[in-house]
Amino acid sequence: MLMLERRVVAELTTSSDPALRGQVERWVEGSLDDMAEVLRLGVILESLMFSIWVAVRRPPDLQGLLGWLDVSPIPLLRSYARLFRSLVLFGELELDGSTTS
Amino acid sequence: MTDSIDTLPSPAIVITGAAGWLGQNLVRAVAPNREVVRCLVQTADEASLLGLVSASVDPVVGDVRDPAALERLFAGMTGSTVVHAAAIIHPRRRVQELYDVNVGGTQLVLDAARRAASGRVVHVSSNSPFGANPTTSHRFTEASPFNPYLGYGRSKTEAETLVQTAQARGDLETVVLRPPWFYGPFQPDRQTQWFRAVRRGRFPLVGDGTNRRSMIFTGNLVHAILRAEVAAQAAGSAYWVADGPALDMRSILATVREALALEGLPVSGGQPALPRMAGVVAEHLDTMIQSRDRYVQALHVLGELKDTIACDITRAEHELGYSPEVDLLTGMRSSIRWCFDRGAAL
Amino acid sequence: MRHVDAEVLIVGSGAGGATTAMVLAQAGHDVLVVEEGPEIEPGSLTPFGVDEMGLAYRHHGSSAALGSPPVAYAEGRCVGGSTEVNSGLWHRLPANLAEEWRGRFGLDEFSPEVLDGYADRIEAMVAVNPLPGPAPASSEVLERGATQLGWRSVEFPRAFSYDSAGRGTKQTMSRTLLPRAWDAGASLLADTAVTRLQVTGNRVVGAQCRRRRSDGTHEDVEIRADHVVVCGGAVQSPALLQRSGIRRGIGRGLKMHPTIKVAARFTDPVDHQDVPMHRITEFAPHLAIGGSASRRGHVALALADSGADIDEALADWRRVFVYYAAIRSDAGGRVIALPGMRAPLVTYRLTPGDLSRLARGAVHLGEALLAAGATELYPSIEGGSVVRRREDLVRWWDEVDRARASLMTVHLTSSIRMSSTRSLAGSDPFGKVWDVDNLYVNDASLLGDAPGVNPQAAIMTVALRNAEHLASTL
Repeated sequence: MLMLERRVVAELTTSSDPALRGQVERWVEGSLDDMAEVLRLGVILESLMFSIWVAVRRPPDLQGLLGWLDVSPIPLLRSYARLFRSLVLFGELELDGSTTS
Repeated sequence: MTDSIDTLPSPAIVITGAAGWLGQNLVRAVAPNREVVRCLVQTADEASLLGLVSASVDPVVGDVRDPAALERLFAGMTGSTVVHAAAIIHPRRRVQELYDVNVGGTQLVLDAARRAASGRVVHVSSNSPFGANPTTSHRFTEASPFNPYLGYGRSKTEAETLVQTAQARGDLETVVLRPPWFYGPFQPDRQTQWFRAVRRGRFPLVGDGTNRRSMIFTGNLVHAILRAEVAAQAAGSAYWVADGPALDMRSILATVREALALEGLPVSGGQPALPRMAGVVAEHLDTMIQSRDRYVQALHVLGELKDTIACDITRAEHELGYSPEVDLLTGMRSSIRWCFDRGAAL
Repeated sequence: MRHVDAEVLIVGSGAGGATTAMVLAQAGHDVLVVEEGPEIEPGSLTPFGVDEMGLAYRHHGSSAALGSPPVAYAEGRCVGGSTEVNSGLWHRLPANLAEEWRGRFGLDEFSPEVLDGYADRIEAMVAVNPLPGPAPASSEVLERGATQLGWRSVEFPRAFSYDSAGRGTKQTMSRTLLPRAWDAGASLLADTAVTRLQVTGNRVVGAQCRRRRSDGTHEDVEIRADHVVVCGGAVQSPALLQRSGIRRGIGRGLKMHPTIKVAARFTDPVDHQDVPMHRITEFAPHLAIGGSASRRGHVALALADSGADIDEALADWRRVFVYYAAIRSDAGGRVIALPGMRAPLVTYRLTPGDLSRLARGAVHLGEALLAAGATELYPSIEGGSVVRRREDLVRWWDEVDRARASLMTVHLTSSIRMSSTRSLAGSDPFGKVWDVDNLYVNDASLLGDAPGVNPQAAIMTVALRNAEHLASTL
């Protein structure tokens, strides 16, 4: 997982429990590692692009990036935000043993 | 001629697409004889104009894709005949609209009709599920297999299969009519432009003009619908309906010119012609563009002009008791006069 | 490098591979089944949970066919294949489809009667049963909605066996046909991916594999075999053949059931342990309506698909369940093996008619759910309207478009097909790959089309037919 991807996951994870946050990060990492290579390559390219976008902002603005991606007219950009939101949301809810049925 | 035994027309009738080309003709034909003519229209303006036709006309504003609107349309219409004439032939934005309205709308209308325990549903289909005749002498019959022509044809094919499925379910009686190219009063702008182009000698023959086309005057189609409503043995069947024998394209254009002249309009003697290949190229482009969910009306029309699209109406004559009274010249003249009445310059 | 010899090598252990392995082993052949995924103790993982997603699914359960819109898909990757992770819903291949394929592909004896004979036997081996008691509330929603609207719905039987207390056990391949294969002498090599088949002239002579050891390291394995049957499913089988240099008629014409979802909120809590057995069949064969896995995470994902503010609905997730409309699609896709990559590129191009059918499915589904008492509907359409009243369903027609529809599928088929005409399919009428004398395919990629129903029964029926034909020729 690239640095930006790790930060996106941290940004999207809502729990304050460090153990659960770690589990979520490992779940997302496992999912990304296991992706079809061609899709993973696409995600990596986007991550690199967005790393630059975030780096040139002062202060670096991850929330702004995600908000911008969410409403982008380009489906490929929206799907980047959706991928991470989905992975984190599913992981966080399903790994949280305290509330899962 | 006819073997048919008739049932009585229902005192009330439901018409979708009531503000359309066919719908306007149908509403005016049935309004004097029915207690209620429940009409589905798209806008409040259409509703108020249609409401002027007769006190029996009861418009409901709504989208044929909206199950709630259809529930309002069918409220209290148990036992009433339904004429489903709502359809899109030339989509405005994307090809998907053809399917949304022609397939989705048909399914929802059938479903609402069944729930309302309506009477017979007369579904207005098209020649497009059958493509073009293989030769100029070939005629489509009720035994011809589906061979849909592009998006519109595919959507009307699927609609017909939905009607068959609804009939097979056993709790809805249906009749399908397949009118080809139609003409008559309340025509849309594209038809008025067509008259202008023919009059000015700008409408091309594609190929040598020996390809044949069946046509149907809206008045004849209204007559077919009213026969389909009552002909007892028609339940569950589909029928080709047209004016009569198919004419070749050259004669059709000559007749339109004659009609224009008889109505006092000077007509250009020129008849431009395009090689048949132009129609073939147009069909290919149309296919390509439609596969990208886009639609260009002119290409679509040009693509079909080269073809023979002709049907045999013997079965409708026998089983429906259908007998078209208006011929091409008379029908075209009445369309032209309708344009005059509306103040349209031809 | 390890070397292994076998008379028959079977690549994959799902519905197709397990059936093939059982038939050939029972016919006395020396059978080796190679499975890329792990062997998992049946019942040890929570169905549809994170562990199962990570261990038993390929790509953690999320891959995508690229297109506009893309279609997310999931496939099993473990001993038993997708039968270990699916809902077990059982529906024979509709007779009209069998007749259609028989004519279209020139399959002489592919008649509904013949296939029913195979299906009878498969069902006796797998155990296919309806629920012994009443269906759960989540399933009855579909029946109630359909009844309210005068639509037909059916409670489907499943590949489940039930004990006297009514407790169900899913009859996956690892519980049914695979044990029969092992009893007849077949052996298993799990955690082993076949990277390519070695083809010499018009014969396949073996397979190069990569095995993952329990410590996470890998070893290369070379398998020599007299006959090879590829049963990796509609994505993996064509990819393996292409990687092995066999491309003719392979990987084109992929079919699927594109699916749109709606998360429905009710006034009372709904069960979340099972997948609904009821389906609304009123609109068959064009579209089918059913219920999805709806654990809390799935509910959240389905709610989030709409892009609406979901916090409040998510907090109330016990009253939310996810339903779907799946269509038969006019479109086709491709599987393309990419050099240097394990996973192939999968594409699928939906037609305008497909998108419209999906919108129609969503509207029908919405009608049924509202009729069954749902109070809020969240469609899997980005920016799609959350619907609370019937009059608002009409908005979904225009909202389902290429940019916004969020689609998925779990049924992929038809990427190879069987035919007596070479130009129509990658294999002969019994799954033998053209131009290679001892290479066969026997899985979902052989179906002539996506069948409009859960395909497991059709896959196994065809697999039994082809495996017995193969056994008679070896």
